[in-house]
Amino acid sequence: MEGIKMSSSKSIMSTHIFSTDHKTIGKQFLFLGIFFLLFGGFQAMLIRWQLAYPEQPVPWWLFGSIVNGEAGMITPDVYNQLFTMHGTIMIFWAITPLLIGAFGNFVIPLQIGAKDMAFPTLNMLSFWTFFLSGVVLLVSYFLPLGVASGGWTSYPPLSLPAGGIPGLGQAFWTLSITLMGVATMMGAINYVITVIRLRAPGMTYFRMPLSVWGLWLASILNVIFVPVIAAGLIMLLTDQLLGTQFFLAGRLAAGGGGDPLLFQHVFWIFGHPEVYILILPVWGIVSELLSVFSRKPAFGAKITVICMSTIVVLSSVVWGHHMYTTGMSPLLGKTFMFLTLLISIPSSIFFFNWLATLWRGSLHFDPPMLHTMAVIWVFAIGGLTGLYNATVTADIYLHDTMFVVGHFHYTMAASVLFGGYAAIAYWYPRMFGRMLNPLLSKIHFWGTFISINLVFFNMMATGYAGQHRRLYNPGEFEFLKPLADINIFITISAFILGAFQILFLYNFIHSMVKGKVAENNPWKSNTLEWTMDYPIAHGNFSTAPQVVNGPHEYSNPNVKDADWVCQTVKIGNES
Amino acid sequence: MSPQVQSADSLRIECDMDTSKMGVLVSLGGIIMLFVTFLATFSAMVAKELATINLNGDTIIVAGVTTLLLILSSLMFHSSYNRWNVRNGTTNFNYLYASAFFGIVFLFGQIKLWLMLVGIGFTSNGNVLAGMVYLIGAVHAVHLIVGLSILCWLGYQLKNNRQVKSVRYQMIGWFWHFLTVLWCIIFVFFIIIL
Amino acid sequence: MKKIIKTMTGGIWLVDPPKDISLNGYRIDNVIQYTDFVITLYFGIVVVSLIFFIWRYNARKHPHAVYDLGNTKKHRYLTVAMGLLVFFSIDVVIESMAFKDLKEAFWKFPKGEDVVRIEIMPQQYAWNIRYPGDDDIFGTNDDIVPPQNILHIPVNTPIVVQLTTYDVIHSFYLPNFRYKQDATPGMVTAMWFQAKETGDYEFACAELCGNSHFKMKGFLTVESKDEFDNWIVAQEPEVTDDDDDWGFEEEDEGVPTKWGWQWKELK
Repeated sequence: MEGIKMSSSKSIMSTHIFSTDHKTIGKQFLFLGIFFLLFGGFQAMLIRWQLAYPEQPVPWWLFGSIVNGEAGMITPDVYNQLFTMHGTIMIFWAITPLLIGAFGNFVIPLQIGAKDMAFPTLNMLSFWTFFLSGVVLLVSYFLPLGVASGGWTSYPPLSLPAGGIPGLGQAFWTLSITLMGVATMMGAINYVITVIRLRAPGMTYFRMPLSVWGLWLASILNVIFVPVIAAGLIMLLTDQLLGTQFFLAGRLAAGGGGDPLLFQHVFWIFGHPEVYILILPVWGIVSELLSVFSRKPAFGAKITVICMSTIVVLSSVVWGHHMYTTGMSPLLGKTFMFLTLLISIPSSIFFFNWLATLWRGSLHFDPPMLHTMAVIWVFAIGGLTGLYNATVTADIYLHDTMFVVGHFHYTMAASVLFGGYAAIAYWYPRMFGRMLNPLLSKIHFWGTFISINLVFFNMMATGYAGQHRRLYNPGEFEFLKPLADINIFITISAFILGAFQILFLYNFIHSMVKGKVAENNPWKSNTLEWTMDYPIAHGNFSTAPQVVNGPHEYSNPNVKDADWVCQTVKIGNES
Repeated sequence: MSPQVQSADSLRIECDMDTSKMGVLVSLGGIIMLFVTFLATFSAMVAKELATINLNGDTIIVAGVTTLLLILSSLMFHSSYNRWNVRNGTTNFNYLYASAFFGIVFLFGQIKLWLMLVGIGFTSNGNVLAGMVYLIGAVHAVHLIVGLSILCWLGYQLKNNRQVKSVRYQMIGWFWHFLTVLWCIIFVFFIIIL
Repeated sequence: MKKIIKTMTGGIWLVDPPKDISLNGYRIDNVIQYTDFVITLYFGIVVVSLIFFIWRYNARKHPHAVYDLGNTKKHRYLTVAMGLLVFFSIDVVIESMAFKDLKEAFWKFPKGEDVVRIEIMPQQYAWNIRYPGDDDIFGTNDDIVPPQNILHIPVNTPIVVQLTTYDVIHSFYLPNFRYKQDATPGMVTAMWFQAKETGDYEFACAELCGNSHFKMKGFLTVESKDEFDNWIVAQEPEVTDDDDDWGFEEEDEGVPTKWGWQWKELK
């Protein structure tokens, strides 16, 4: 639509498909992310079905006989493939494009007053490389022996041919993630440089909205740590395809061999920052939105930024807490535990700032705000339960149990999902010029909020009761038999959760066509992305905006007749 | 409401000098992280005594010679850029050709080196250190091939009298010199550790 | 105080963990219980303030927000105080508890005559277990190798287990002892535990090891010292043909034979 208006001579190819406009690329990432979110979510439903009703035919409404052949039963190898691909897709192809891809692209240039990304062509290449990596991943579903089934961590030797997983699925997995890393890298370089170089005049670092801060810090982590996993994956790939033995040892390695633990180290040196790469944009968006919908400046915004940066630094030295049970040396275990627990300090401080932003505010419970407050709730649970896993002794018991699964779903799935929904609801008017239906949004919110807690809290409970991860059938063990009821309960909650996401999808698509046409600044927000008319032309700003305020001047007593003031408007009484 | 009308030119982002330089620097930082990981893994393997390697004199000499070739290639590129810069856009192609030529010779030298290493029983199945040597060399070579393609593109542009931005020429130089420096570091690292 | 903590958090997970039959399991339970307590406390604060703010400061009741950047000196002190509070109430307590437990129990391997030593080598998808036999040395002809997945241990006796694996990574998981330890190819890892009650229990593989990972179950029998001695005598020593050639066989399939390794001295 916008392309035709802008210049009719340009073809659909250059305005909608191979566009270099950051807004179009952001939308492309958003659609791709939602597609993979649904795909990964569907796999989660199948996993839950198997855990609650082991070895019973999958019902028609989960496409049982289509997915699993005539009998409709999930076999152990299919089950392993399901949870492997669920984790992989959700982390790398759903959350990453949804937050960093979509909102990094859409929001960063608009909020800092830039015309586009620093390298628009690179940006487009980033999306298409990402798309290609997704295609490689999906192609592996058509391999005769199936997709990867070594878990999303893909520890060797299991993930090597010697480990017993047949076919090329694992190699496709490695290859697609390497490609995804290249795409992420291109995007991350772009975001980092854009923020450093293309800020509008007057947009100092501390006048940047906090959502930009979150996305920017995540991109910095990406630039540093994606090459690390790329190195590990290249080594894994040569092990899988060319017969090197970097990560083989023991009997499987004829004549020599390497060390499987090396892969775990490399994986988690990247893997732990990756957790923060996923959550940092959410922290930024939450800090920003709380301020907008409380009509009050973000409390201690500078301190929040400093805390987030501290966590970025700390996140790169705590990878060992994923490996307490590998038999690491006592000194290392203690060091990693100490460093990990240190993260509780900055997190508690910005948490405190979030709550203080609400304090004495004027809270408007629009859909974005509901999702934002849900992030406070779920991230509080997720963050606090991290304490168990950071503690060496408690982790010896809880490692590799459903407790860990519940914990990281609270931090990574629930928080990121709500953060993503908040961001979609908030920027939807800017992206599509229309509002999401508020009633449907609220129904979707409450359904999601209640069911997601029932799912993940009870997952932690089953883990506390001893149920270990990645079990095809928990009923094999006597000590897990009493948990059958809880597992059924989780599964039913998960189905409800899934059903509510279909409601969201309906709302998302329907509102794009039939939604209420949005005003230019429906949330009365200060930041620059709300200053222009919809649709926003390629190039965003006709003249470079001159920024004179911080992003959070809500309810400033010097502003007459309004509780907000755009970042480019000088505040009243000084003149 | 109609969007602001803008000409195609004003839509172009001004990629001023510092932005593109910074972009190249950050990308090089990424490549450095990649190789740092490889070298750290390599060191860990050495520290754990997973395998042993004995290089003989011949291979070290060949490796040294190829390293010198790469340095020469880098120097040639530098001269090419300098002349191009001084003469405002016309250049002596011989330096550019020489640079690309030495780059290609270096790649063949690498292959020769690998063949020699295989010849002295230094094979990648079994011996992880040997595997790492080949892998690091290969990943570096892939970057070098990318660099060579960029050099070809540059030569093509210059040959057809297309305008090449000074900063772009300079950035290509940075990448090319970076690959040389990277290889020198890797080479010295191998010599010290093995 | 302990009682208050217990009643306050006794049921936050709504389920009970497996019965603890180990000498040191209570330590892990205590750490978990303290963590239960602090997270309930902090989460309670978050929830109470959320509810209060929603009730008190919603736009209808409180239409004009108070302009407060939160960047004064007072706020900075408050922030520092918050950090210190968290550090001392959470980090320091949990760390000191955990470090003490590690030093006094989990990383303090028992030595002496009455220690029972066991070598365990999981494979896809079964547990191979080896006792040293009469000569107390592993990797000799009189080693006792019971049927796969059968582990007997005497009660009230420290058990030291060394682990490595036949193929991929496994994890020796004893829910009733609150303990697990990975078995990684190419290295020998160690753990120890001590039972304080007899009975039949299960152990499992906690690290994904392939399609039948879920079936990788072992049966643990804790029995009195006498019963254990009788049981071990009743086991046939491993039958072997030749005396050299200990170590891993280059077989592709089947149950590995003669896989014992020399006991690694623990520091």
